[in-house]
Amino acid sequence: MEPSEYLAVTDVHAGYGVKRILRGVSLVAQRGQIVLILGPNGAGKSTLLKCLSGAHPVGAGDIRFEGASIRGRSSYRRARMGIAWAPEGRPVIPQLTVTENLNLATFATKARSSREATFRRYPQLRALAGRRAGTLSGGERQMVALARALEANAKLLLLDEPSLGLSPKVFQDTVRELAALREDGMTCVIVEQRTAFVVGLADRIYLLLDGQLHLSSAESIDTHEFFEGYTSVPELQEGQ
Amino acid sequence: MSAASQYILLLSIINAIGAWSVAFCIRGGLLSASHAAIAGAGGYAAGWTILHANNYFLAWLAGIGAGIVLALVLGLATVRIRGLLAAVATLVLGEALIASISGIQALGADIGLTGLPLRVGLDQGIVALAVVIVLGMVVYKTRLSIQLPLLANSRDVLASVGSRPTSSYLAMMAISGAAAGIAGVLNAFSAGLVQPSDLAIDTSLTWLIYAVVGGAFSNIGPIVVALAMTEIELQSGLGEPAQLLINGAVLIVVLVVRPGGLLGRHSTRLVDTRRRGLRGPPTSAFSRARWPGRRSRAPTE
Amino acid sequence: MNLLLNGLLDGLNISLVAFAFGVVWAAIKTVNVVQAEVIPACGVALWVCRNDGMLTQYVVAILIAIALAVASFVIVRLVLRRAPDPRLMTLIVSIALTGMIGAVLQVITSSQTVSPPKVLPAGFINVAGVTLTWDYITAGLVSAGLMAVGYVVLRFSRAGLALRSTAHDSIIAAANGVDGRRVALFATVVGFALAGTAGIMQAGLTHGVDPFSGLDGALEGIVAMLIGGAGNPLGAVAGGLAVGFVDTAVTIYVGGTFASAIIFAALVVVILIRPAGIIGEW
Repeated sequence: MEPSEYLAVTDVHAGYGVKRILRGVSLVAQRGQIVLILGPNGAGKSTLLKCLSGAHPVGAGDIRFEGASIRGRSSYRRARMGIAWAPEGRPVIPQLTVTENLNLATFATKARSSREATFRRYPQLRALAGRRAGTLSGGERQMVALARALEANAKLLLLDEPSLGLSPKVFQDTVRELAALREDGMTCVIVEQRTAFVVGLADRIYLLLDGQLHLSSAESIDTHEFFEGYTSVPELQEGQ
Repeated sequence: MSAASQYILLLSIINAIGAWSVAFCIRGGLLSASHAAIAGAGGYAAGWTILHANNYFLAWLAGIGAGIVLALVLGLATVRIRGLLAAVATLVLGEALIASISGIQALGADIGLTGLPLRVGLDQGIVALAVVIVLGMVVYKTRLSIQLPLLANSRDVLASVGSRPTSSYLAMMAISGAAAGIAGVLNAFSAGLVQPSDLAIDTSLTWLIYAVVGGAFSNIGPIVVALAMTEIELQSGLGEPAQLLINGAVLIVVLVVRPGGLLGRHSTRLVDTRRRGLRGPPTSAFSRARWPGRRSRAPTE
Repeated sequence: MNLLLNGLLDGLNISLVAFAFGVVWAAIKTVNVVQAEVIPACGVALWVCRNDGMLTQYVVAILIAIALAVASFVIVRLVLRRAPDPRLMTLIVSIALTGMIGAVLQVITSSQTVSPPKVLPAGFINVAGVTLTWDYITAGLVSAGLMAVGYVVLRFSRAGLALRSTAHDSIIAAANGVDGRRVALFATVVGFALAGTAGIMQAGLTHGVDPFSGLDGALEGIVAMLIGGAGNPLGAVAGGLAVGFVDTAVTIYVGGTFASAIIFAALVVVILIRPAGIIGEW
């Protein structure tokens, strides 16, 4: 592993029972990078994020974060190391209020950022503090998830289809916020299907096909071809 | 073989049939804590019939019929729920039955039905056990053997292949109830009486332990374990506290060492779909991520 | 009025047991049946320590409840390492442990019903023409007080937030640093302690402690929890009051032996119409 590799996934295999989903996936991310993972439905994108977050066991291979192997660590331990994960479609706990969702950050770190700083960055949340998260719009829920990650001083943010349920305009706001987080040094791994919005944001793009990751680039991704069933994937060597 | 040993063996057979009936339900995803109550109801029906109709054959039919009816009632109550909620519902049913029967004077209230003819011996017990084993083997050859694991794991898939989950579930309950009824009739006519304590949850839970230790997916496992453990415990003269301790310890050890049961498949799942080709949906549609037009992974450029 | 007042007091006692089961359910989404055995176990503990001071009796009883909580938690986790289906497996293992604990209680009491010292005040009071005994009133008030404290803790404390977040979505909770195992252990200990307190009060209310009574005695509490809404403290109160009223009404107007059957019927109706319970999930 290179010293600059903040996150390194090496030859990871994972699946569900007899069904193998990930067949030797490898990726790297440097600090402050946004890594985008694309792929068709059922390719294993969410499974990969679950493996990174600790919610799903890894059958073989290794995952290293900040130089240390985290493969056997449970989800809550990874959260306390600074890995924040927003699963697909449920970035918050709907039955808890916004404040309670934000307070969950106290379990990930003792030295959390102040609530006032959170409200300064996301002024809309101040008015929503007492509301149940389930009554919020999709964009507001994403905002709560991002705010919670910031309060927890997260270093690595795993987002599973953050555009789900969001209008294009709202998602563009989310994309801008992700760019701002990158400026602050946050590393993000994003799984997304709405390629048009995020392809330009990503520093590194991977395609997940047949259980394996292929490094690609924004110029090589033609959205129309991707969804119409292209016959091959332009593959790049590492470093190109 | 002495009369006492024969009687102990007969009790072992009753427990074996009871354990088999519980195991049959576990295969369909229902953890039942009321099968002793169902068996007891069968015993009461048989006892009442013999006292009033004096017809042994009719008494057997009544006992088995009562077991089936009560099992179907339980099935109708639990058909829309599963897992833990259903298990608790069976607990409550067992309690409700005991309390209700204890209050019915026509059934002897707290004392129960006494003076029943001692018509069952070891030979009839062996025949009854053989009937139950053959019943299990016959079911194995039918569609129900495939429907049961799907009932436990995925009723949607069961419905999608053209089976009606409710019908399958009720069929499972009926067969299980019939076996429990057989156990109840054997108990009534071997002891000469049937009383509310025969319906006790403790007996149900003991059968449950035998079923899990033997292996719920094995036709023979629960029977062998029930026979062996009952024989050992009764022949050695162990009191009830010791039996409870041994049963509990054996269950915990088996669950740690061999979760599928001693004679079950070596499976880590209590409910196992990995049999007879039930490895999930067809692999061609699910194991590869396919989309139209894709032919190879090699770059075309 | 008799129905109302006696039903209310009976219901509050059942509610405490339901609340105790609900706390554990919230963390592990299943029933640890050993909690049922804690109720007679604490009563037997009072009887064993009958020659010691009242404080010693209470402390020993609660310590036994906590010890049973930790022991059952450890054993269940040991089994769950090899065997998935955690909810049903927990139920099965706890059933086995219940039998074993019941066996120990039978040995201690020589399978006899024992009479521990009365821990609740004696006497009676006349309220609106209905005679109520102080032991039932005290037990009802203690139950209500404990549930109120429990609700406040669950609602406003950090431990309560951990438990609620785990109850609603254990995966997201873990992804935010909540240790699910520690939450489960905390909930188990608290739930068992509450069940133990219910056991101490029941020892004072009944004519004796029956070592065989474990599961039977707690069944009403489990049913109340499910009727009200599993894991929801308000549901436990609602379910307990409902079961208490039904129990009292059936006893007064029909006969006590059919109360269980009617409660079963009520459970089935609730399950069929509203599986989440009257109040629903928290």
